Amino acid sequence: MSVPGHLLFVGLPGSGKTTYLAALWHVLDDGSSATSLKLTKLSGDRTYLSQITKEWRECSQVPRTNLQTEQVVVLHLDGAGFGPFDLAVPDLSGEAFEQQLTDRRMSLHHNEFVQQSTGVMLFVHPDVRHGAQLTQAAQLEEAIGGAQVRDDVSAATVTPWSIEKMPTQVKLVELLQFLLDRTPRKLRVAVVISAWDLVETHGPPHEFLSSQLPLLRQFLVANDDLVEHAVFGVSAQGGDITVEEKKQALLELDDALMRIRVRQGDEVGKDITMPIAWLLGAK
Amino acid sequence: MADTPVPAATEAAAVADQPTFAELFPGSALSAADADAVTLRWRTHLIVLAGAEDSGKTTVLASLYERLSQGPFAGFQFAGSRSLLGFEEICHLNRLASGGVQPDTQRTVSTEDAKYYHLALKGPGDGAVRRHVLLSAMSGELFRMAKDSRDDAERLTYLRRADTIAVLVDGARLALPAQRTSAQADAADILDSFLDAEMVGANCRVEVVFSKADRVGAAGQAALDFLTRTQEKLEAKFCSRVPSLSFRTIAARPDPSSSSYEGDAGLVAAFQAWTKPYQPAVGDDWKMSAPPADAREFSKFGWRHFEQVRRDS
Repeated sequence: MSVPGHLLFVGLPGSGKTTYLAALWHVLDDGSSATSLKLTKLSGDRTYLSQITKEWRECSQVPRTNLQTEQVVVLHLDGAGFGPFDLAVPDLSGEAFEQQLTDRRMSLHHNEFVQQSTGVMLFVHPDVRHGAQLTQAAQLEEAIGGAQVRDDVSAATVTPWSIEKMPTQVKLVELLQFLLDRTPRKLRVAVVISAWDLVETHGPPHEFLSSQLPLLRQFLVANDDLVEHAVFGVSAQGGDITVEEKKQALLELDDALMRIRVRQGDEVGKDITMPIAWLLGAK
Repeated sequence: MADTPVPAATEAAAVADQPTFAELFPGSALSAADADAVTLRWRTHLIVLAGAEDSGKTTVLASLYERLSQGPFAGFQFAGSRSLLGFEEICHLNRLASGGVQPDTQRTVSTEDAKYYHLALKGPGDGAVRRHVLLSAMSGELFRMAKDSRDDAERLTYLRRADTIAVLVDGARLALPAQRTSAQADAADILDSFLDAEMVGANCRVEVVFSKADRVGAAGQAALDFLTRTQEKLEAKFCSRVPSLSFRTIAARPDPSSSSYEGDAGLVAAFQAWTKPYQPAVGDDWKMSAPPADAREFSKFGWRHFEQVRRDS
């Protein structure tokens, strides 16, 4: 008998949620690669999955989910140690998470997903907004040869603060705080650094998280009684498809499965189901 | 009796009245009522930064948050905050995204109600528990007003619970011969106001903090000597009323070209001291007056806590 599971994909706009789902569906549907989880039967309505996966196969930009196109995808899966189970994954738009930050409210629809969820995949695009400080810029200027005399001080136009200007790490901590407030149990969080190919020279994914999003990393570590987390680097596209040469190289691969790379710690592989398997209890 | 059919329009209206959203916590700087809620939920440590206008209170708050945003700070890991938006707002004028070219800080409005900033922190070690800290930057003007008006005094009642009060003396003014005496007098006036308003509890750490220490250092020996004399003068004036009075210098946002600029510039040691539960020396027998019956729960909580500690000791 199938045991239902519910995963929540959380991330800001453009963080790679839908691209991951497209690559995941291609891998599961293809069935030829060694993965922790396998598809047991086809989902009912596959229109949405087919549409996003077509774009992924053609190395096109997978269309972002917006508030009007949110979908719940149900996957019928099986894996060693798990048994057969149905996994519901709502593909929520990044816009909806931005709205939670600005409007300070969550739709009851999302609230229901949060309360049902057995695990969270937190997507982070490596091109993060750092919130660079003027004091750091001044220190840098001083270090490279003394501060320049600024004759443009009076001409500078200071713009008012807004929530949209907050650094990526602050937004993600706030979204996690919203979730923890509404989840009565310890939460498993798989942090997925998407487009990993762009930053794979930085070392393991958890080191990237510590150096680029230190507030988020501290939050996850300091709340280890409430959150169990693991960090994955996932390259679902395989390269920068906005650069024509790279896109062509990816299209010329004999097997699209070769595009996928997943890293956790020092382990590098092609199993895109690895973060999901970890969320479901794998070590 | 058959149920009366509900007209379709009424039914539609009833459906429309159903909430479609769940409210999330506001995330901005906390009001006294919000601070009440935090205190009732978690045991908190309250740090009050008081000082004259431009003495650097908000810059200290912003700098503490900025340091935590870059990694563990003063032995603490960041474990959360109910006022992330509030912190972000006071940091804005030191961000490239502000469009500014010189670091700046949003000023504390002198007569505005106090705002609180929450931090959840976890110390080192596997068995460490999360600690909750509330920080507030308050203008000295509020305390002066409290001396003359019962209404204003009641607005500050909750501060009786402060675990640490740091009175900031503006180092930039100490560096200027024309302003240094006023800066010294302002600090004495604020401490006087605190004591007159019975804001200093038995377990409250009181510090005089010379801010912008890099400016004092850059101004030369005369300014440093004046700082030393200020410390001696305040010590002599308040030693009988505040036996535990201590002093420190910090530069929360030092000028990078300053020769006295050093790494954390005193902020690490300051934050470690401010967050440490204070144990008064044996023989210190202060008693804090009970808050009025209609005082906020926040104030009563603090008073009950102090009374319990006093009875147990």
